[in-house]
Amino acid sequence: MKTILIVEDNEMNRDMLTRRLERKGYAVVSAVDGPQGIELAASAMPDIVLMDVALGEMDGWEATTAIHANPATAHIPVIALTAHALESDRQKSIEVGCVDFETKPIALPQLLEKIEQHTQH
Amino acid sequence: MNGTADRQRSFSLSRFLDYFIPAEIQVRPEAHLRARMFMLSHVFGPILGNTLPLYMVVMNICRDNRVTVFFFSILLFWAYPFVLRKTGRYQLLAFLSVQNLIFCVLWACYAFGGTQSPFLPWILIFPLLAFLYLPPVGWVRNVLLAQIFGSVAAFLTLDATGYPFPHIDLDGMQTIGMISMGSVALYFAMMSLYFAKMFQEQREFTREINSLVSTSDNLRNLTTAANQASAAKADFVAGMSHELRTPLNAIIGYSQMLLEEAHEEENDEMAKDLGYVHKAGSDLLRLIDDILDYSRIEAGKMPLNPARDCITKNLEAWVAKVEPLVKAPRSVSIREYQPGENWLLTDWSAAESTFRHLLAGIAGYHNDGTVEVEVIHVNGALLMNIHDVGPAGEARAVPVSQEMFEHDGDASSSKYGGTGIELALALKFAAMLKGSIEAIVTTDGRPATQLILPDLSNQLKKAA
Repeated sequence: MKTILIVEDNEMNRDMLTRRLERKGYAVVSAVDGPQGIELAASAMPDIVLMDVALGEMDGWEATTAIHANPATAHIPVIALTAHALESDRQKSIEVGCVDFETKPIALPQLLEKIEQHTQH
Repeated sequence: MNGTADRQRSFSLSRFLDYFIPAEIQVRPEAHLRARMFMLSHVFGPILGNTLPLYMVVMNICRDNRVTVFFFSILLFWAYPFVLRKTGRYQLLAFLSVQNLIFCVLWACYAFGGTQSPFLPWILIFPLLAFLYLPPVGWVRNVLLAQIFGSVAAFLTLDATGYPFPHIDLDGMQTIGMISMGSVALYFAMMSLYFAKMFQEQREFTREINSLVSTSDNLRNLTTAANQASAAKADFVAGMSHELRTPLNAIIGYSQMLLEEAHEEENDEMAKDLGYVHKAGSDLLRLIDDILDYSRIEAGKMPLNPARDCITKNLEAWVAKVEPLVKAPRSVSIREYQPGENWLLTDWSAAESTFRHLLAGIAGYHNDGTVEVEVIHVNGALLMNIHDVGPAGEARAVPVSQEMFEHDGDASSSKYGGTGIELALALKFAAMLKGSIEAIVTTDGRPATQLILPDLSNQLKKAA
């Protein structure tokens, strides 16, 4: 079973995404902010991270950079989740090392496709 | 009426004088005024001045070389305007002109009566011309004034020391004395009146310039304030959009999740209700995105990201996105003609938004029939003619114009059945891409909405 780490500060969005992914057969762990996300990435060693960009004090791009700076978690693919379909957000996400980019509200079939694509070993 | 006629006369005279004045002098108001005075003096001065030697010849007072020298030294003034036009050396010519005048007057005084000469009053115009021709600062005018007083002092000294001036019968000079005084007075009057007129015109001109500068400053301030207000509005809308999206994401996500569950449990009634919630949430989200896009474009916060790409490939993706937006029983059909290139340089994301909003707007204008899209590849542009066809095959016009929203923006939603924001956005996106959307009649006589998106190569070259 593949493990997905969701880093999302909004409780409803976190809960909703967790339940939908669990229903599709994934194991889900979740973090409410950037520092907790970095910690969980190292301890849970998920197959992929779904990272909300707007996280408060430490944003999702900084958290992604920190995850990739740690040799133990550098290999974990990160998909950025943002509220806006802005070209600048997409570029920034690629610059900090995200493998993909998805806008909210999440289109689940599309997200599942991307998760499978980036967790092929 | 007289005032107008005076202005016209003055204008014609000024235009005549300006013919001789180089453009670089005309652009400096004070220098221009001095140059005009110089011209006036050199055009009309010789006419007044030469009445004196001509009178002396006609009346047989004197017909020798003294008069010839006098006559030609005055006539020489007519050369100055042409030399100025040719060389542009105003200051040098002004200096030489005063030298010329000093010679003229002192020669006439020397040749015709010394300090008793009727031409002596002309000495008074030396300093006048020095003041009128040259600017109040600078060494040239000081040198000239020193020279004027030096020359006059030398002349008077010569006379006082009994220097033998040529003989002239002063009795025969009485009439010429009166003519000379009259000419001097007339010359003074002409120069003074013209100077006063020019001075007044210059003041009015300066006042007008100041008024225009003030208006321009006000407009600049208003534009800055409007831009700031527009940017503030865009920031507010962006902030509001984010705040609205977060709960909306939860509504859409939860309803979708519950919908999946309802389908799995075969609870059709629940699935139907959840479908309504999901659709309403999605519609609301699209509306928020539309308002955000509109606000961003208005505030100039939506930068272009042009790329050269294949038209046909993009059209296929566009149609797939548009079809779900068209409510049954309406449908969309697309025909593509490729007489031109299949590649275009544009911002494809903005182009897709233009197409999507335009199609959604047109499709929402009526509740039946089809929307036929003719896509024509033209070299240097992508052209689309969109026909709204009724159930009986009749072509129907859809009013699309910027004015529709500018004059009737508040009412557009109610008046155009919810298509207002879609069409307004299509127009905004098309304008951003330097394109256009217009209501036309095609060659087969059918009304259509025409979208033109140009290749941005030339625009980018100009911007670079």
